[in-house]
Amino acid sequence: MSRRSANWRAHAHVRRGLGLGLVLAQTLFATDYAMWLLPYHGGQPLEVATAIVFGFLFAWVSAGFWTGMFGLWDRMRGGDPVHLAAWDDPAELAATPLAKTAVLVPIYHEDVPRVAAGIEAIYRSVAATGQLAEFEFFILSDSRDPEIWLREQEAWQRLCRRLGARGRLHYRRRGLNLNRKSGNVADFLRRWGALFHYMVVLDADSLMDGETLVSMVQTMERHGEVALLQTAPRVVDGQTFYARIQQFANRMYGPLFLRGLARTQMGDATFWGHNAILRIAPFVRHCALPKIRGWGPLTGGVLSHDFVEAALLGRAGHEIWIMPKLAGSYEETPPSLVDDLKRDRRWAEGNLQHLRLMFLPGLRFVHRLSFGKGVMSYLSSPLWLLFLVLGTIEYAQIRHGNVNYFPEPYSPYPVWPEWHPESALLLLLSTLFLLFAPKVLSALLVLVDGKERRGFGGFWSVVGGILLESVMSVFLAPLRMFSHSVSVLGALLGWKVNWAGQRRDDGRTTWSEAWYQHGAGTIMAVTWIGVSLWIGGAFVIWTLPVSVPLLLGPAISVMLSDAKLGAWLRGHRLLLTPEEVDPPEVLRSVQESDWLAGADQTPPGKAFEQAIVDPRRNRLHAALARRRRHPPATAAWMAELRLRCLDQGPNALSRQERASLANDHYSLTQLHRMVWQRGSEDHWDLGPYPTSAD
Amino acid sequence: MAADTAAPARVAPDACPDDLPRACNRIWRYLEMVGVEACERGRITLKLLDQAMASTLRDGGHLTPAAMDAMTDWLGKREQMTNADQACGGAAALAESAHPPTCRQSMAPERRYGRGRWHRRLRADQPPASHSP
Repeated sequence: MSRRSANWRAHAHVRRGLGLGLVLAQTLFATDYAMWLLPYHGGQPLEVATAIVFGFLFAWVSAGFWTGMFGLWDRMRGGDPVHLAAWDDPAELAATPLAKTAVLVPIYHEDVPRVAAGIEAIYRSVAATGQLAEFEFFILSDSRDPEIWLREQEAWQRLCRRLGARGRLHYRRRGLNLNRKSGNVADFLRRWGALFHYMVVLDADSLMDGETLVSMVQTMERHGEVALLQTAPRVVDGQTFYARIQQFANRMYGPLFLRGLARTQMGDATFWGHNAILRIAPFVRHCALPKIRGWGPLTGGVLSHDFVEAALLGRAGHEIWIMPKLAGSYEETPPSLVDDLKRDRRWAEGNLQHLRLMFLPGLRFVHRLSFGKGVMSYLSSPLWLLFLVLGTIEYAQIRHGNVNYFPEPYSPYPVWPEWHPESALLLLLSTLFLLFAPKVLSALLVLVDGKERRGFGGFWSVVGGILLESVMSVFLAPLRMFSHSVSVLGALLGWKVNWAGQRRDDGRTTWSEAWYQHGAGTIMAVTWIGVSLWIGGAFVIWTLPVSVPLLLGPAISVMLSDAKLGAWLRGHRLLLTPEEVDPPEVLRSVQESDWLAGADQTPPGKAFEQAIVDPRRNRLHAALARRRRHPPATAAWMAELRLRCLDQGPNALSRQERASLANDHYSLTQLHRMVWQRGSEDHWDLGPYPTSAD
Repeated sequence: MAADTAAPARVAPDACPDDLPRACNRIWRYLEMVGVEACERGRITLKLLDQAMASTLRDGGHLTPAAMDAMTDWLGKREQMTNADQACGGAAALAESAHPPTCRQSMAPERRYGRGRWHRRLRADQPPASHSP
C-alpha cells in the first residue's frame, strides 16, 4: 500500500465515522421525538411500527442531507487535497504516455442515428487530442430485431468510411445475448480484452470528450492500484418538460451531492455502469458474475451489475474513485416519466437483488453501505406508503375507535392519549428542511458565482428554474413513490421484467400509456381521500400533498412528456443548463450531426428488404453474417424460408424468420441473386434506393 | 474482351431501350444501384447481355445466373481497378474490420455458477488470468 493510499484511508475512516454518527444521532433523536408525538407515546404496537418505519425514512433523508453537507464542506475548502484528483501534478499527468484502451458502446435496440452520431463525435474528439493511436472503438450489439441490427451494420460501415476508421472501429453482434449488458461486456473481454489495458464503458446515449478520456487513461497509468474511475456524467439534450427538469436538477444540485459522495467514499466508490474507465486485468479476474442461486424472487442473473462489480474489485484490494470535477462526460435522461419509471422497474429488481449479496464475506464496509443505499432508494417508497397507511389507521382509531386508557397490562395508571399537531408540524418542517436545504445551498452557490450563474441563464433563470423544479418535484415524489412501491412488490413477487431498449427520443406519452402507468395510483388517491373524509376532521388536508399528485398522475405524466412545452420553457429561459447555453464541442457535434438530420437512408421497415436487394448493403450484411453449415433439418427449413420470402416478399415472414435469414451468409447471397433473377417484381422493391454520399 | 469487339455496331444507350429483354432492364437497374455512371452503364449492359444473351433469351428474357455471374465478375474487376470501395474492402476485409482477430482469455463462464464463486476471495497481488492467443 502506497503512502498516499494509506493516507486517504485514514481520512476516509474519520469522514465516514463522522457521517454515520451524525445520521444515526439525528435519526435516533427524530425517532424518539416522533414516538413522543404519537398519542400513546409508543405504547401500542401500531405506534412502535409507525416509529420504526419513520426511523428508516428519516435516516434516508438524513443521509442525503449530510452527503450534501460534506459536499458543501468540500466546495468551501476548494476541493479535497486527499482525493485521487489532487495527487498528480497536471504537467506530469499530461506528459504520461497512454496505454491501449478500448472504448465500448454496448447497445440494445437503440436509436441507430443517435448512437452513430455519438460515436462519431467521441471518435473525432479523441482524434483531435492526437492520441487516437491508443484507442479502439467497439460497438457491441445485443439487438435481436433485424430491422435494427441491419441498420447498425450499415451505420458502422458508414462511420468507417467517414472517419477513415477501418481497423479502429469494430462492430460485433452477439448471437446469444446472455446476461444482458454485463454479458455483452464479458463477451468482449473474453475475445479481445487481453489486447487492451483499459476499457471505457459507455451507454448508447453517453458522450465523452477526448481530453477527458486521455486524462483518465493517464491517471490510470500513474496509479496501478486504481481499477476504476467513474466520471459524473452531466445530463444533456433534454427536449421534453420532464427531461429538462431532470437535467436541470442534475446540473444544479448534483455537484454538491457528488462532492459529498466522493469525499466520503474516496477510493471505495461505486461503478454506475457507464462513462467510466476500468482496468481490464482485475476486472476479468474478479468480476465474472455468477448467477444468484436459490429459490424465490431476486435470484438468477445479476441485473444491476455495476455496484456488484465495484464491490468485487474492492474486495480484491483495488481502488475505485469517483471523479466529481472531471468535466466532459455526458448522458441523456429518459424523455418521460413513464419511460423513467419503466427503467426504475428494472433497477428496482436489480438493486433489491443486492440484499442477497451485501453480506458476502470480505466486502468493504462502504460497498455494503452502497448496496444498502441502492436498496433503500427503492425500498423507501413502500416504506413511505406504509407510513401513510399506518398514520391513517392511527388517526382513524383516535377519531372513531374506543380509546384505550390502559394500554399497558397490569398497570393501574391510565394513559391519556395526547396529540400535539404543532409539534408534528415542527417535525414535518424539520424533515422538509433536511430535504430542501442542500438544494437551496446548491442554488445559492450558483447564484453567488457569476460564471455559473450566467451558465444557468442568469439570476432570474436560476430562481425561476428552482421554483419550477421544486414545485414539480413535489408533484413527482408521490407518483414515483407509488410506482416504485409497485415495482418493489413486483420484484418480491417475481413478476417478470422486460429488458427493452431505453427510449431516448422525445416521443410523447399517450393517455393510454399514462393511465396504464398511473391509473392504480389515481384509484388509490380517490380511495384515500374517501377514507380521509370519512375519518373527518382536518385529516383530509394532511393527505392532499400526496393524494392530489396521485389523482392527477396521468395528466401530469402526459404534460411532462411534451417536447413543445419543453421548447417553450427553453424559449423563456427556464430550466436552462450551462451545457445548453454554451454546448461543449462534443455535444455540439452530435446536435449538428447529419445523422440526426435524416442521414439514415433506409425507410422504416425496409432494412431487411434493402439488405436483400441492394448490392452494396447485401455485400456488407453477408460479410458480417454467420457462415455455417446447418444440420439437414435446419437447412431444409432455411430453404423453405428463402422460397417463401422470395415468392411472398419479406413481409410474409415473422421477425424471427427474417432474423434467421439475415444472419445467414448463404441465405443473404442466394436471396439477392434470386430476387434479381426473378421474373416478377411483386412484393419486392428493386429500387433505386438512396445512398449516402460518403 | 471478345464481347467488346463482337458488337461494335451498337451504340451505348443512355437508358435501357424497351425492346431489349427484361434482363437488360434488370442489369441497368442493378448497375444504377451500385452507382455505375449512366454512360458506362449502357455500354456494360450491352456487353453483359452479349456475353449471356444465349442463356438470357433461352430463359424468356429473364436475368439468368450466367448473366448475373458475368455482371458480378465485371463489378468485382471494376472495383479492383478503381479501388472504389476501399474504405471497407472486400467481404473478408469487411468481416475482419468488424471483428478483429481475437486473443481469447478466460473469464468464468457465465453458466458456471455456484456459492463457491461468490464466496471465493481473490487478492489483488495475485497474477492476472493467463490468456492464450
